[in-house]
Amino acid sequence: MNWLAKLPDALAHRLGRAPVPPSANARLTRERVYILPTAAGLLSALTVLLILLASINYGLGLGFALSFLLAGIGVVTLVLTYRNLAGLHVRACDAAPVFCGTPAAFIVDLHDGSGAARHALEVRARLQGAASLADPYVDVPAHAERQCLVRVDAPARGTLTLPALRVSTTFPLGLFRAWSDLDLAARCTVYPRPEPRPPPLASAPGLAPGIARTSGDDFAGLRDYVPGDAPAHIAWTALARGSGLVTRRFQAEPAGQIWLRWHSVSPQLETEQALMRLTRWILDLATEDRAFGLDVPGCLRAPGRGRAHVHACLCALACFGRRQ
Amino acid sequence: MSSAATLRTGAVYSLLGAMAALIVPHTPRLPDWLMLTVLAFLLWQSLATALRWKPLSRWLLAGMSVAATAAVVISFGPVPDREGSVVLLVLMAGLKCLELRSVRDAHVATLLGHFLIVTHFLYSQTALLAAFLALILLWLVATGVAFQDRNRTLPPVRILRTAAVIAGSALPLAALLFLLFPRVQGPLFGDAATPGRATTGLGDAMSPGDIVDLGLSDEVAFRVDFDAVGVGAHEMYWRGPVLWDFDGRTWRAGRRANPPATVRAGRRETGYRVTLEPHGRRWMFALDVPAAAPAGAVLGADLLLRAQHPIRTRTRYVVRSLLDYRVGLEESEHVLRRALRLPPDANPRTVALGTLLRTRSGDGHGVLAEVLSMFRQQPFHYTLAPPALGRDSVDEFLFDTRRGFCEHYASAFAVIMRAAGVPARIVTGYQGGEYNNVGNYLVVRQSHAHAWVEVWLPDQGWRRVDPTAAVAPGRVETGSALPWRDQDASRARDTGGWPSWIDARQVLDHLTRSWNDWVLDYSAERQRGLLRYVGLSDAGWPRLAALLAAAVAPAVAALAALRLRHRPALRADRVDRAYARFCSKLERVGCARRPHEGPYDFARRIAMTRPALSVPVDQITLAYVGLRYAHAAPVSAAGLEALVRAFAPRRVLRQSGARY
Repeated sequence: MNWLAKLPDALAHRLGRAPVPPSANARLTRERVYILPTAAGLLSALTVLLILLASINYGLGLGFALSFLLAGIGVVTLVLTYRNLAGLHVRACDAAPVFCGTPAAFIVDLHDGSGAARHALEVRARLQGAASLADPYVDVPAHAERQCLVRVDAPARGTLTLPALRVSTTFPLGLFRAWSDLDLAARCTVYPRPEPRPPPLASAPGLAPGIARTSGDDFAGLRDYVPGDAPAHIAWTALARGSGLVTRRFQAEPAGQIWLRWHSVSPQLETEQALMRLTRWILDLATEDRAFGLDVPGCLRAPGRGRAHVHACLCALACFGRRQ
Repeated sequence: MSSAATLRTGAVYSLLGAMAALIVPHTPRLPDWLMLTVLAFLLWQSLATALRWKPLSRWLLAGMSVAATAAVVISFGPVPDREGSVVLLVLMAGLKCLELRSVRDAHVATLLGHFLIVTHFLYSQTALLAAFLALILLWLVATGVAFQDRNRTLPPVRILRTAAVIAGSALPLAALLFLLFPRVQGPLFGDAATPGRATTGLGDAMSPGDIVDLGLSDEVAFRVDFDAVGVGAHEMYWRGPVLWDFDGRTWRAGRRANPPATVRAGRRETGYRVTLEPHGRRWMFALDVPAAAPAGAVLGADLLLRAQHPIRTRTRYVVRSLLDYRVGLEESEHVLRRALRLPPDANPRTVALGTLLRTRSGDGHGVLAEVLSMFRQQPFHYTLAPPALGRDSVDEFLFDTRRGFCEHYASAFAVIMRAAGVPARIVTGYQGGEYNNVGNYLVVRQSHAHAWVEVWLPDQGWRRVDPTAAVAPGRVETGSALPWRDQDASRARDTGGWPSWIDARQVLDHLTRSWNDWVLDYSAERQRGLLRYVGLSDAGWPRLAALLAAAVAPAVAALAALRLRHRPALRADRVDRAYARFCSKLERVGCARRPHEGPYDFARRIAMTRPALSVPVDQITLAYVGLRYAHAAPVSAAGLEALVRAFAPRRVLRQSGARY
């Protein structure tokens, strides 16, 4: 039944339907929903035919009735399967950034706008090798919205766009498969893969001078809160006293700023290797919650800390050498 | 492929149950070992599902399938007949139930279930069976829906409802297809006789000494629609096989055919239409005497209609019968000699009586009158439970027991006549019938089976004489083999104002007849009749196909329109409705609420952009939020509605001079 699985694509190609430009959300209008019998449906049609022949041969009035009832059930199923898909709203959201090699998880929203409950909708990425979900079926009650997760492998750093999705269903009897192919505009930033065992940060040549490798635990006073400060460093007691948000400073901080510079890693390593190492250091620094700056060709970021800063730096590495 | 564990357990039980319900009614027809085997398969699979046993290996199942096929081929031959096919199908269905690993397996099992439904129709097609199997079909559809509900979120009630919607929506389409799908007259291959029907009804021999079971059978022999009323009960003799040869105990039709009899028609005749139930013989019943043979039949020498093939399907024919007639006035000497022949050494007392009567009365008319008055005056009894008779059955009946029913009387009468030198022959058939007032037709049952005598008189030809009528006039008047006193008693019970059982029986028989006509025997001919009725004469294949398309397309379109229509959300409650009205009023003055805006944000924006509205907007917003989200609200729902009703942003803005 391999040819049967390929039939939808061949048919869509033959029909020459113009591809719909990608957008963040889509409504499965009637001209976007295709439907064809499944292998089980064809087998059922053969059964009906055989019952009809037997009825003609043996003059079985009730055999005729049965075969026509089964044929009617087939037609009704065609309509119901189509209805199970038509009119559905689908929206994809940008996925949270991932590191190269781990699958990106796109959240796809399915929303019923026409007041019909939908059952056993199957959402799959059409990309070859895209990881399928353990449980890819979604039920959407009438006028409700349900999410499903589409996992896509991220083999290379940079920006991953959501591949074309196929939403399909065979409910209620499995005799027909209705499907719709969607190109949804959703992306995911893929950071470089962190190097597994990098040399320690301090050993890197060309780091900014004056790094004090202290434990960083020595309290050194308070300063005003800047967005991005770790919650652990906020002086909650000061907040309770009513002096507003202030952040505790540690001794390591003013002692000097860490600069991660491209030329400090690049000459010895290939580009990708260098990016992996920088990624690892950024992660390490973020774990220790230390401020750092990034200086790579095309991107210079002043020292800072916090999730936004880390993300911006990792993005810069992800897009290194690529057009944004 | 998914493993057995991924199949919905409840749906597996449901499928196994449906299969069992389809197989068990075959029990009386199929071998016991088969039933036990298949039920064991079903039981195994339900246990395996419940206890999560490992599924049987495919090699084992394949081996079992081969063995089953081989067993059927050995028992029924390489091309199995119908019973063989049913056995094979039942076995395959059972084996498939052992292999329920994936949804596809379940689907194949369901399709085998559809075939099993058809196997029942090979044996019986009553409306009751049809209703039962329709329920099973609904069950199978529901099971299919359950298998497709991959997340197993649908409760059984919803599954059943979905199945009912599917089947219910399919019904109109099925009805259209049933009426308009071009019908082909079978069979396409093989012998297509309806099985399960051995020969029933009259035979071509009669032994008055044997036990009768025919007379008590309520089974319908045939039904008759008359063109016009006017046939009296005493004229309703439905002619069947004529028996000539008597060996002292048994009357037989004999192999020799007589030359055709001449018929002289009188004035009265009647036309009618007979729907004959299959009885496995060639003869077709008609009123004494048929004027001409309908298409596909011949009128034999004994004025008996014979079909070309044994009647194994319900057959309909239109006949005309003569009610005044003279038959065989110029009968040949050869035939008359045959009608006088008696076995030489049987029934000596009866032969002696016949000879005596002959010498006493002189001619045939006299003998006839004597014998009839003898039956009438002497203590003869009509009973369906006569004592058994010995070798000289006629002697014993006439002189000793004097108890019997039509066969005894006809036999004894014919023997006396032959002994007295009057040519006589026995005619078997049916007498009378039961008029169905509901459908205005006559039902003739096996209990109406009868035997009478025809004697040949030189001036009248063959004349019908019914000696039973002399003994039990009620037999002929009521037209039933039941002792007429009992019949009268049951009549008496029916005279209350309430619908009696006989009415219920009539309604039931009428329904059965309509079922036969419109469902079971809806044929190409009947389809043409229906189309002629709606004004489409001579509808051939292309025309019928076009008509079918023209009828089915709007039906499908209506179905699609019904199923694809937009269904608005359940109406919100009055608080939400009031707030929605408030929002739409603001929208008309250019302040549409944005999708992301909560009520407070919305109110704040309006206060900034349209300060003139801020007071009523704040008031309404506070009321709405209070009603919706807080325990205590400043106003009631009715209060909110009143506020919204009074809210007139356009007027306020106009008065404040703001431009919008």
